[in-house]
Amino acid sequence: MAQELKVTARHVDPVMVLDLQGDVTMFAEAELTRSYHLAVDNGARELVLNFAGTDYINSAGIAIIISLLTEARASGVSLVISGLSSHYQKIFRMVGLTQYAEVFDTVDDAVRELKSRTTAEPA
Amino acid sequence: MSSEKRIIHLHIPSELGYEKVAMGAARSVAQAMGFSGDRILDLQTAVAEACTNAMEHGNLLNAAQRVEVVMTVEENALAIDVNDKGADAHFAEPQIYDHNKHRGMGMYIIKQLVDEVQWSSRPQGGQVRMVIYLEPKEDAEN
Amino acid sequence: MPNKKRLVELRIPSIFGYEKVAMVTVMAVAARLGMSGERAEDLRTAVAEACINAIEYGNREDAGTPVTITVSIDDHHLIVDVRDRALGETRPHMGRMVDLQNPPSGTHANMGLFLIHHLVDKVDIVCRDNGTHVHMAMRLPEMVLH
Repeated sequence: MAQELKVTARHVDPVMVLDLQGDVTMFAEAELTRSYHLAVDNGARELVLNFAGTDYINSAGIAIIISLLTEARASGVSLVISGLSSHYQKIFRMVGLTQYAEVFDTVDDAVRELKSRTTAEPA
Repeated sequence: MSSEKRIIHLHIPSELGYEKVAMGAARSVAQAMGFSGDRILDLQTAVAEACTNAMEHGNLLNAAQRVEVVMTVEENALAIDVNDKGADAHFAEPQIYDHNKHRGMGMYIIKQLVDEVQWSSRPQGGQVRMVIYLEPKEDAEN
Repeated sequence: MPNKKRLVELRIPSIFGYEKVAMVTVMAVAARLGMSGERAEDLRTAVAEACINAIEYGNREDAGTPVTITVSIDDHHLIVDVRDRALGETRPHMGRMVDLQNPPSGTHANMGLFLIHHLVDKVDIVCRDNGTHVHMAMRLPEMVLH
């Protein structure tokens, strides 16, 4: 019944962007975890989860994001969030997610920020 | 996909404007079933016409009387019944659009927009049943 | 409840995904009543969470058992009542914020209730043998169309 989530990955140096299209609900679990693992298995260490193509996120979907964040933290992968509407940024703040993942308005903001950190590192 | 039917019931007041609520619900169901954007627009318009007809002619715009919209999700089709509490048989199936009969226009439009439509007058009120198919049943010849 | 007038009633099957029909329906009524923007989105999310709890815990995902959503108004509020038939366990207690050190193990119902509590102006939850009733009210903007 729900709009199935599709995740497409693209490389925007130096990060991997995962573009989400559809609903982020319990039905999104398989696709989200599959895409995350595929990216990490292919060597990605900095990921942007881009929510610009979603307009329905519920608590079940948030629980999936939390488990991805937990896994990322445990394995030293940097996972940031972009493209959330102001409403869903508020929701993520309410449930405490923003303490564990940086939230950017747009993918470009996220990429620019992560890139500047990479290039700022000493050689 | 399960072949079990899924049923959604919606009751709205007989107040013009509330057909938008029915349109939204129908759109939401049709989208999830995978109907194309164009087909969904057709369906929304058909539902709007059926509802306004039910409000105006069935329930005579008595806000306290409800219009009932029943959506049945089947494997290959979406059936939408719009029921009112109208006492008399207030519609006759239109064959062509007669400009002089404003009332008939809505019904004419519905007939062009959905795959099947049936009007009936039951003891509890009027009913229009509309069906759209995911794989349209094309006419054998034109 | 002063002058509570029922506007729209919706029954959906207890299948995940059908909460979207409830969300769209409530939003259409809210739009008619002049509610928009952030407040409308807050209500939309609260309705989604209430329906999901009803589907999952109240009705145990029994497709044939409906979740009933009623949209009403009184003098100052838009009211959404979500009712299940109490086939399963119900969880009226409020949840807490996420602590990633101790992440909630699959109980997003608590997160859902937490969100509802913080998104709507007033929420009451009544559990009876024949069903749980989540009653949510949002104050309407002053220029309300009746």
